[in-house]
Amino acid sequence: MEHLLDIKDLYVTYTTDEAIFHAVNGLDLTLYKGETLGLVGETGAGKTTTALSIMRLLPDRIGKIEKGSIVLDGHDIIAASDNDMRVLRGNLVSMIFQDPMTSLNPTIRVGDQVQEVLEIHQPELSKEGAGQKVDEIFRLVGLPVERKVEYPHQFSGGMRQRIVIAIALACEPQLLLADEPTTALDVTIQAQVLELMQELKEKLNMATILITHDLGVVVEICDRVAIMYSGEIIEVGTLRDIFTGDAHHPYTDGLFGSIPDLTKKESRLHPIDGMMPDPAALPSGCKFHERCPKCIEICPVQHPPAFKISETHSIRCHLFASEVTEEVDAHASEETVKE
Amino acid sequence: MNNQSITIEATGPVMTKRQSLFMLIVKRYMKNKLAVFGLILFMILVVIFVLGAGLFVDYEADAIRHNMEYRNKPPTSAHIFGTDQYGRDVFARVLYGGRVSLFVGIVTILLSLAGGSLIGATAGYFGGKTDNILMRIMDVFLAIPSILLAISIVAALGNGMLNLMIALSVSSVPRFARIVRSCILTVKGQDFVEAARAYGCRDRKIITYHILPNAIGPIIVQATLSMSTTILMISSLSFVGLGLPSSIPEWGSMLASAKEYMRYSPHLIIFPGIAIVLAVMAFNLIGDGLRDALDPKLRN
Amino acid sequence: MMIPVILGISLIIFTILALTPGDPAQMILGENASLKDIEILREEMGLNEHFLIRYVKYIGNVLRFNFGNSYRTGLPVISEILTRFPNTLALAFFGIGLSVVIGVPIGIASAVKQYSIFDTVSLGVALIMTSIPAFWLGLMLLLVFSLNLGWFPAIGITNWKGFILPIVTLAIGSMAVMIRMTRSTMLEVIREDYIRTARAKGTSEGRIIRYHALRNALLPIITIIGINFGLQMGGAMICETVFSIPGMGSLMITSVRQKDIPMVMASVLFVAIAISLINLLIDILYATIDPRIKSQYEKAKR
Repeated sequence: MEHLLDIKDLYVTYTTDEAIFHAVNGLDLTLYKGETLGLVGETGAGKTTTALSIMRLLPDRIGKIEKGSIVLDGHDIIAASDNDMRVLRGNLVSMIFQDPMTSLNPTIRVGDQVQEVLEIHQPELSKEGAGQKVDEIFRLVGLPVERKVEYPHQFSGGMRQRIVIAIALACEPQLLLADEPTTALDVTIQAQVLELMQELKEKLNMATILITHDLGVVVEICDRVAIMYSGEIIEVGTLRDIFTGDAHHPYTDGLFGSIPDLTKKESRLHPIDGMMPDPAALPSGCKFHERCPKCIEICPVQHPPAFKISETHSIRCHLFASEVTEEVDAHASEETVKE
Repeated sequence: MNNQSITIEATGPVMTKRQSLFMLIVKRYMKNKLAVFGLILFMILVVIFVLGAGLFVDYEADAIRHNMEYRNKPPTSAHIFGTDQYGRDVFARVLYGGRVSLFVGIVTILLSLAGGSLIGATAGYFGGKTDNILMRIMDVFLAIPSILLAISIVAALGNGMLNLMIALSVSSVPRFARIVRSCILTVKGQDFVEAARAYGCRDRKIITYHILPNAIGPIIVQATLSMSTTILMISSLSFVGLGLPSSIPEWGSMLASAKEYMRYSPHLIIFPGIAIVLAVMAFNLIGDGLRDALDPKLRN
Repeated sequence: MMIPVILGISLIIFTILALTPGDPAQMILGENASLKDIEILREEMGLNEHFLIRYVKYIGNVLRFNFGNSYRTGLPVISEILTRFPNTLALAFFGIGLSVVIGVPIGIASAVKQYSIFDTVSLGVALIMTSIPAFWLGLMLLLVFSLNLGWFPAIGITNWKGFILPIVTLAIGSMAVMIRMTRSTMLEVIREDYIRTARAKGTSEGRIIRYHALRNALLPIITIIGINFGLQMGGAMICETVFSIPGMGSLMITSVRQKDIPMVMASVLFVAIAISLINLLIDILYATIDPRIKSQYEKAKR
């Protein structure tokens, strides 16, 4: 399968007056054309930061890509100029954000907001042509065309998210970054939006990185899953690899264990003890070792590399050192940066 | 256990928490360079006006007595700001004018604080119709530009220091009333007031220990900012002859009498004006600094 | 909503002025007037009636454009007011206009280039300008440009040149507010989520400011202009003394000194009404521009 996106060894920091926050630490990720990858993790794991880095939309003076490489469809994202990035945004790669209530400009008609993307990236279109395309997209996402002259406040949350999706897909990008697109919506609307995304994925053959902390959403539409913790990918595999089978990162086990199961008779839930490490003061060795129930001697000392369990499945944990088919990356011999 | 010991226990943890919150605010204030500059400027001005006026210059000899031989002299080593049309030392008058402005300003603010707190507390505590009526009246007062209100009151009561203080304080009352009222409303809705009542805390104690600490911050910010506008209004009204009597050294009246001589004696208008600017600026900077230090949301 | 406020203002001012010590009738007739004559005049002027009745009668007269007669001249106050009011209004109006034209762009540029030298300098200048009393600024400008350089007349507004210095004086003071408020409004708008969406579309920064941010920032800015107008009317009235301009300010000041209560009452009321009207216009303008409020009105109509 063709690679669409290759991220290698990405480090991203946020610098404020008080401290430097290491949001992304040595992230490696590969995305294939047309696939939907679920990027799962707790709040603060670095998922949104990763997506913003791909778009080069990190907050201006605070966020910085320290090192690493991001290659999207042959384009070197890190070396690209601001102008180059503007050509790519909304065109090759689009992003939708969490809260549809605030993502739309309240003073511009929704049709115009969608049309703007076309005007920017397809200036050869005439006004009528652009208008027609807007109508097409409206139909595609299930919005009534006659409402394109209305303003965002006249739509409900679910419909506003559709408008946001319409804007993102207007130029038929190859990659869609969806940052918790359904978290702010209620469950019934959530199902509708996911269904829509599934339809669009098939129609447009578009790759998606779906950021979420909700495993239920992942199972609905993802092909592969990457689990993120403290700024790095600690486990990645196909849907089957992650959701079935026994070989998992202890954190992944914890995630699944914390889901209430109606079939089992248990008196209490088992959330994972403790909290994610402070990004301003990262621990040495494996970042999860302080919370890990299966922590062994080597864990606090040496940062684990990602071990390949199968063709499709990798786990970044010392417990799997013996089961490798090969070591995946060169992070093994590095000492982790302290603080 | 009697009420006494319960109250003491209840204020134990509250006290430490309040102390560390205070230090946090001080720290944040100190980080703001402009705010610190304002504070330093303020302290310098206070020292100069309050102490300097007594130490370096003499009220009678320098600020008041006419000395016609030395009329309208430009700055010299003897009179560093020059002399005015009656031969009075401008530097001395500026210093004493500072004392006057500070005094009138502070009393005005205290008056509005007293009035505003009373109205705001009544409105907030009793709620309902009382609250509605009082706040409507406050809104009307807010709708009147302060200078018009002040002029009207001076029109009715006549010139003079006390009348000026009353006139100026009335326009600041609504703002203090609003602050006090909203503090009371916030606290009124919270559970710990019910809890405090449940173990016998009387209303007055509730107000002192629980409501006041939250209210002090915004009140001080408003007081400092009101101080700068009050000083501006004192000098404006005195300038047009509706403020303090011209015998009392005051920056505004000094500028008024200087107007006819200003072409050839510009020093008469430069120095009192600069004094006004510095005083107002000091209070503006402190007020802004305090407001930023108290507001948890103002982080970039 | 405006009417109760105006009525409230009129009641408050009327009450305050009613507290004036002294007998207007005696003042008019002079020291040697007999008690009988004074009493007759009091009856004529309605001074013996109950305070609230006098208020209601006053409002009734005002609605018929009768603001009473001056204690000093005996003539209707309205004629004096009408000659002077346009001058003050012009000063305030052009003062604000100039400050908006210069101050708003500076505020926007400051916000866009936050933390730059331009930003620091404009903030510093704005800070100093808020601390400068308008009348002192007027005096200084008068000193430099009129008395020393002779470019503008020192007194009055016999020709258009006389307007320049007072308008500039007011504009400088108002500009400080416009710069600061515009800057903070723009900063808030730029941080909004929909600006992030616009960037994610590939919109250029320039277009983001001009097209996406500005329309949202304009709404609070318009409100600020309305509030500022009230302050500028006050400032204009004080500056009239500096530049010897015959306006509402000088009228009010002289009337206060002469204890000409009807003139004071009418002037204050007039200015207060003018300010309220301007704010009402601003509110209407806001409602027409903001699509959210506009649709509320349209829904209500149906």
